[in-house]
Amino acid sequence: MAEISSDVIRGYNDTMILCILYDKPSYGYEISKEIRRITDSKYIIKETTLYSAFTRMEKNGYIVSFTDDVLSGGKKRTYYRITDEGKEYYREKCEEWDLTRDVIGRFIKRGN
Amino acid sequence: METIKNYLDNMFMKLPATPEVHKAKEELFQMMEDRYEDLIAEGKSENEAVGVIISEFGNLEELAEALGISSEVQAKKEDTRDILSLEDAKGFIEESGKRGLRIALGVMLCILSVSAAASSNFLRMFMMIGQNYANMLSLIFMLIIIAAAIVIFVKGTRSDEKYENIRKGNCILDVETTDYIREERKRYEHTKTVMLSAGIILCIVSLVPAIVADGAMDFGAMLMFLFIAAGVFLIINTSIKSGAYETLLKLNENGTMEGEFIPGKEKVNNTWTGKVISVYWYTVLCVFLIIGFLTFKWGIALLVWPWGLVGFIVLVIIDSVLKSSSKEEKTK
Repeated sequence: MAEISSDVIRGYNDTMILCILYDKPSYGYEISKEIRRITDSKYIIKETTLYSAFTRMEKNGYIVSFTDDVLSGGKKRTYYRITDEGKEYYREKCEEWDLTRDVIGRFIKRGN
Repeated sequence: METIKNYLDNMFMKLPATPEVHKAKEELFQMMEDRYEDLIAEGKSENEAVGVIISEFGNLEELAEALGISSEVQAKKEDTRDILSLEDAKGFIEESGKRGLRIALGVMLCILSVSAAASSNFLRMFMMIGQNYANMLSLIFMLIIIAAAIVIFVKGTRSDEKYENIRKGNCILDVETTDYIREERKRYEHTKTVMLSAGIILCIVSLVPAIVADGAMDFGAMLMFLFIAAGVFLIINTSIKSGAYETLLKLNENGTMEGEFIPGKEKVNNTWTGKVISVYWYTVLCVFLIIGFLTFKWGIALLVWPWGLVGFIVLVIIDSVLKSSSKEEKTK
């Protein structure tokens, strides 16, 4: 069974996370669960990968973190919210993927 | 859940104790805990859930990148600093203890030598010998004691070169070592308080013989310096030993923005009153000595103490109020 190359996926972890955060803020586990659900469990992101992405994107200004205990019913949790730069970056990455898919797709033979 | 916590602790044990590392550990634990609860809700057994989480955790390399990047931004120094091993930290503490003892002993002997110099009248009465003999004897005692003090100082009260790094702040502690040191410091806290208090009390009490034995000035002076010597010994000894803990823990401070990251609740004595209290009794002692030596009206100078006590009680009350109100804020 084919598996996604980790090199490829690494380039798009941010895109996936930003997509999930695009409309509303969320927290660590919920995001990883969403990724699994959206991909039909074809991609399961590791906790360390996820956290690295959070840290990196926060440093770049694409997301901001805040702690909250109201939303989660009492437990103090770290939430992440997308910024305007983050939305911009997301759109760029989407365009980039479209281009990639177009280019590589020309070399992929289906069937056989 | 315990298993997961141990797994995480183990993973993070050898990492430098910085705020970023601490934050990462917390967030990862939160994620794992959420996942655990979800899996249990789905019907998995505890063991299964734990197994799934650990196997899908990932590795530290990715994290190292995330953490490494942040620390580069905060302080370049951190990249070049080695992690101090637990054995070295222990060695440093032990050596500081011995060093403190030696220095305290040396200083005590120096003060004792003054006491010996003033002891001639005492010797005359006690041993029932003539004035000249007594003078000679007290001089001999003094010289012997000074010689002993010199021997101790020469033998070395300086620290081993091995620990130069620690003194210069050229290294950093990992989580395991930091925890160990904090634990030891807490355990030593009680001894330190006792020794410090006893030392200070001895210094204070030392003035009693000086005042009481008004006529036999020598006698009073001899006893006074005796007490001071003992008091100073205790103070120096315990200060150097506890200083070692502080020096080690400060290592993490040089370079990171937040310093020794302590979960908010543990930050004791951070209040301004806490700091005042720590120097309070030294200040009172100084005031007392100044008044006494300037006016020689020791009776009046003695009044400083009861007032000092009142002031102290007020300070302690303010301090505990401040601490409890800041504790409330921090645990919100």
